Parts: sequence; structure tokens; C-alpha cells
Amino acid sequence: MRVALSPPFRSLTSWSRIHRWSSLACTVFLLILCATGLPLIFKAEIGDWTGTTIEPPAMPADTPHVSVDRLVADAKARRPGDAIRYISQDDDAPAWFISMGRQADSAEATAVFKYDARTGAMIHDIPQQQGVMYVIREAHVELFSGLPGTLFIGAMGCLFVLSIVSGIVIYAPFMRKLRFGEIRQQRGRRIRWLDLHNLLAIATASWLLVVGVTGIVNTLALPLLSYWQRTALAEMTMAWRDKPAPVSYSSLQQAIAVAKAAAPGMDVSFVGFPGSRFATPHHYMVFMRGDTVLTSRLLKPVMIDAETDQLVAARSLPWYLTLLLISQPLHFGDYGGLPLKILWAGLDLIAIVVLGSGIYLWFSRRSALAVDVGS
Amino acid sequence: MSGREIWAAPLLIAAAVISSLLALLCDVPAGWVWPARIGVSIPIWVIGLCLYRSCRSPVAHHSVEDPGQRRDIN
Repeated sequence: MRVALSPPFRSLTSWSRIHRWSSLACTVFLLILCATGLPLIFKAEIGDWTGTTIEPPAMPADTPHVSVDRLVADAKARRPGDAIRYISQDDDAPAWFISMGRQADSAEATAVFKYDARTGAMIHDIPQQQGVMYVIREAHVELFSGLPGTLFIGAMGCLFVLSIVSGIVIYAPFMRKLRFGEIRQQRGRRIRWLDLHNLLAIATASWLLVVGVTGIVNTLALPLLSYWQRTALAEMTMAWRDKPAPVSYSSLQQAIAVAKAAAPGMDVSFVGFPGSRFATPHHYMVFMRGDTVLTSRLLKPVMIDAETDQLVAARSLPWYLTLLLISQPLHFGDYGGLPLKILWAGLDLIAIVVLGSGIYLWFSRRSALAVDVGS
Repeated sequence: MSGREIWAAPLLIAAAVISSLLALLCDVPAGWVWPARIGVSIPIWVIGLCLYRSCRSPVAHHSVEDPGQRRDIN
């Protein structure tokens, strides 16, 4: 016989089902993401500790920098068969990175060279696609499956957010007769873990939501970039559409100087070389950044003609790419120094316990129901 | 507990965490960096205090009806 349920109870049952199944569907993948995310929080520190990061030697602060054209020439001479994709400036040290690929628009780098900005010396040929951190990153970002893996992670992130929201909705009815954060120690292991699961999850719910939502946005990076290239960037470069790509390029140092003049008070974050995914075949795309925590993340692209070094356009990024750039620090927790990273790690460990306890509560459900029926 | 009481602690924690994260991102003045970092750590402190409290009084609320046993969310 079916028992008619009152509307609030029916609604609670529906939310419980949503919470149960959305959690079960994504928990294993979320456990992988939390476990692999933990070392990635300390990626820079691990590089320092293991000696895989090489910094330029100390010199007086006012030591002049060499022209980046010299670095570009050196990189080309080292790998004459490859093309330069990007050149980026180190955030913390006087150094440049030059990323090369089989072609300028290659998704994978064949080599990344680190240069001392003051001497022009190549100080580190950074190993590509090898090492433990590379494997961890591949697992975290794309589950070793390229873009489909990244989008799958995004879908799991959506389920995770749904699971948090439904968990918040059903939190109040289950806490009616308990104090906040109460753990019923004497009611058996399962009830103890249920209370612990509820406490850990509700206390960290806002952090879990922030990391979950920003993680979903991050999985859309490639599709968003591709959309920008097809729309705003295509519109900016309409006049060059039918022109052949230049055979040789003008001075990058001069292009950077023009970009700095077009965006006063900003510094270079990175330059997309002509033909790369961040530029067109006819232009350098100089991405400028501000000098505060927030503005250093909000890039402004300045388009420079790669034959004449003339300024073509300097526009702010569209809202969806700005959203993507703001999502990154909120997901990685890398904008408040080492203390924030340690907190991120602590909250990540708590998330692992929440997920693990959720699995335990599901598997111990049958025995709990049997006890319930028996009594 | 009334609905308002149930939500008081979770909402305060959420407000502290989110405002601290945004304050750090928006470059708070130097003197406010540590308070903002502590704001992010509030969930950890709250969890620690609740665990400490339940370890100190393991038999408290023994008679409270268990809302999770019959209709378990998991």
C-alpha cells in the first residue's frame, strides 16, 4: 500500500534522492581530484624542494635587462625545426620562459626554456611531459583523456555542486533536534560518521562551493578560448583575413614597448606568437597584467602587427574570459601566500573525509536498515 | 532548534569564508591580510571546537531522537 506523503516530506525525499545519487555518481572522481589537487597546491614549493625549479642568481635590483629578441634568437637556434608558441614573464624573478612546439599553434610544448632576463643566459631546459607532477596534473586536469576528460571532470563538478546544494537543503530537517556540530558518540559508528559527515560538510560548504564552481569554469577554458578566437578575435583581425602570413617577424622587444605604451601602468604577462592559439598569423598578442593581486589576473590583450610593430587594438577581454581568469586563483588558492595554500590543503583533506564518509554511509546503509527493521 | 538557529552557524561560517576569499583576491590593505587568512580558516576552527566539545561530553544528548537513523540521507 502506498502511503500519501505531505508536500514538505515529499520535497525532502526528492532532495534526499538528489543528494544521494548526485553524490554517488561523482564521489570517486572527486576523490581523485582532491587527492591529485593536494600536491598541485604546493607545485611551486615542491619544485623548490626537489630542485627541479632553477632561479636566476642574485644581482643588484637595477641590473638592466637584455632584449627579448636575443632570447627568441637563442631559442630558435636551439630548436630550429620548432616554432615559438609563447614567451612569458616570471611573476617573481627576473626571468622569461619561451615555450616551443612543432608548430606555433601546437597544443603541446616540445620544449620550454627559462632565461635569465638580465644576462640572456638559458638557465633551465624545463623537462616536458615527464615527472610525477606532470602525471598528477594530467590526472587532475583531464584524467589522461584530453579535452573529453576535462569536460567529463566539468560534468562531475556539476554533480558535485548539485550534491552540495541538495545537502544544504536537507541539512536543516536533519538537524532539528541536534545542536550545531553535535557528534553522537554513543549511538554507534554509523551515526557518529553521519554526524561527522554533516558537520564537516556544512562547515566547509562555502569553500566546497567556491572550489567546485570555479573548477567547473576552469574545465571550460579551451572551449571559451576557442569561442573568443572565433568571435571577438576574428572580428579584430577581419582586415588581415585574406592576407598571407608574414615570412619574417618584426622585433618582439619593440612590440612589447608599443604594448606598454598602449597599456600604461601594466606589465607583460605573456606574448602569444603569430600563429599561436592566443594570436593570429599576422600579430603578436601581448597580454598585459596589473600589479595587484586581482589586476595581475585580469589580462588585457594588446594586438601588435607582427610585420610593422604598429598597434592594432587594445581591448579588455570579454566577460567569460574574465570570469575564467578570476576563477583560477579562487580554485587554486595561490593568491594569499603559503598560509592560504596550507589552509587550502587542510580544507582539501576535510573534503576527502566528507567524500569518504559519504561512501561509508552508503555502504553501511543496508546493515542500518536491517537493524531498523529488526527493532 | 528553530530554522533561524539551525542556519545561524553555517551562514556565519559561509560569510566569513567568502568575504575573506574576496578580500584577499581584491588586495586588502597589508594589516588585513592575516585577519582575512584567519577568516578562511574558520571552518577548520569550528570543526575542531565541535569535535573537542563532543569528545568532552560523549553522553550529552543521549536521549535525543535520532533523525538520521530512520530516514537517512545516505
